[in-house]
Amino acid sequence: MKLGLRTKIIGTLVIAMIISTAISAIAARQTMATDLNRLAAEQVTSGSTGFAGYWDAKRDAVKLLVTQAAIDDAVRRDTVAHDGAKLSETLAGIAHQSGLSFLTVADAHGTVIARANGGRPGAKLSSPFVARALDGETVSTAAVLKHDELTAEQLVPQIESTTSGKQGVDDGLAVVSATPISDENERTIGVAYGGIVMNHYYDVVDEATHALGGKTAVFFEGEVISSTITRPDLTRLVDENVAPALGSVSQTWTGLDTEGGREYIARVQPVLDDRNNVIAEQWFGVPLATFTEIQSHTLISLLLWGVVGILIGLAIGIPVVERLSRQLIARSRQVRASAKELAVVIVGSEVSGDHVAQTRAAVEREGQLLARAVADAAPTAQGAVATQRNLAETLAEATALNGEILGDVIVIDTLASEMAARTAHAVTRVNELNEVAAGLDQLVTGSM
Amino acid sequence: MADVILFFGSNADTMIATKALKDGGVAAKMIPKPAHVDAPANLALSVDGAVESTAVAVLASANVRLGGVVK
Repeated sequence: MKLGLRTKIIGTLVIAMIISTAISAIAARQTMATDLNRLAAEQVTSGSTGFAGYWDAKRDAVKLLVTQAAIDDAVRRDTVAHDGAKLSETLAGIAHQSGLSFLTVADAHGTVIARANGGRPGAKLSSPFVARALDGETVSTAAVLKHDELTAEQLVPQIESTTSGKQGVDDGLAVVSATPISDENERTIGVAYGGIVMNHYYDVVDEATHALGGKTAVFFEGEVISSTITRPDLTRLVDENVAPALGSVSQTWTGLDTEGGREYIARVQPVLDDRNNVIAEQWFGVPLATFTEIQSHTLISLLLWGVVGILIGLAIGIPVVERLSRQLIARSRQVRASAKELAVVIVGSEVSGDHVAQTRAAVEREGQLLARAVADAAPTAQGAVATQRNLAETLAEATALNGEILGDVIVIDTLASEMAARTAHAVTRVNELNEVAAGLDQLVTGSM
Repeated sequence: MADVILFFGSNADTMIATKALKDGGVAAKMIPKPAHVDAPANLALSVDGAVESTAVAVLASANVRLGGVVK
């Protein structure tokens, strides 16, 4: 397919601009992908750290609340008096006001005196934290509350699955604290043991999400027990199984994770108990779409602006190409006209030469005829009559040839005049060609 | 067969036609334009009537514009 100069130049311009735009878009996308990935990693790291901070703050709050309960005068007095009824009432008030899931007071032997939830007293607390508190240590940690312990505290309903037909977890995850209760002489007379069960407890995840953005969740025994992740129907994602790999994370993990049908850049870090055993996981994620949408939006913007750039480029380029093309076409016409003129001169030279050669041959033939006529006029052995006839034929032939030569001379004369005029034109045309060459040179180099 | 006369728009065209016919293998003789031929050029070409169609074809293929033919 033959393309004109105009098409070639404009086509080249368009292709160059398209390639430039495409390369810019690809480069921007690559750069953005790298930067956004780094930003995402930073954001989830920061968010995850923040979430851990809220978790630790809640643990410290539990410690503070239990410690305050342990030094409460009414609690100490009722503990000394083993007044379970009054103590239970006091503990219920404290737990209600402070938001503790449970608050239990046991005596110096670890036997329950009263529970905030009204559970049955008299049982012995088997928690190792209680034993440590009775030794004078204040314990504060995340812990697994066994099913029987939850039963005693009447907290089983809190860990039960809210999803119909799903059994849920057997144990509970809690932030607990155990603090010794001392009398006026600083002797340990009992222990205050309380905490917050984190199953279906949303304060921490909600606070963290509100403050940090993104989404937060707590995984326990391979299930989501608390989260701000929403399902497609906008309900809170809870009591769902987590990916097996994320159900037992022993060290911090960062990667892509799908929860509630949505893909997240997530960071999972283990929740440790007081013995540094992994008992649960904290999950923090930012929707991947947050970043992919930025990339897509930027890419589309780049391409749109690229198209605008191409249109502006064409608006500027087409008139220049048109002007250039017009100049080249004009020069081409000049060259064509000059070439034609010069071709006529060359052809004319050749034709003139041929014609002169023909004329010369005719003149030579005329000379031969005249010589024969002279010879025919001389006396011969055949007689004068025959000689007279030959002479007449020769002269007639010579006369015809002479007419032809006359025509040839006229032609030569005409050709000479024509060639003289053409040669004069050729000089002009050569000058024009020089001008064309200078014009083209100026067009190409831009020099004056 | 009698000669035919080809004439053209200009003497330059006549020269070019002469060259084209020579290159095409058609014998042509350049002659002064006969008085009874009405043409702008002073020169014309004389070719054998037997090769007239060949000559016209050669001129056409060489893009030489023929002014007319006089028999």
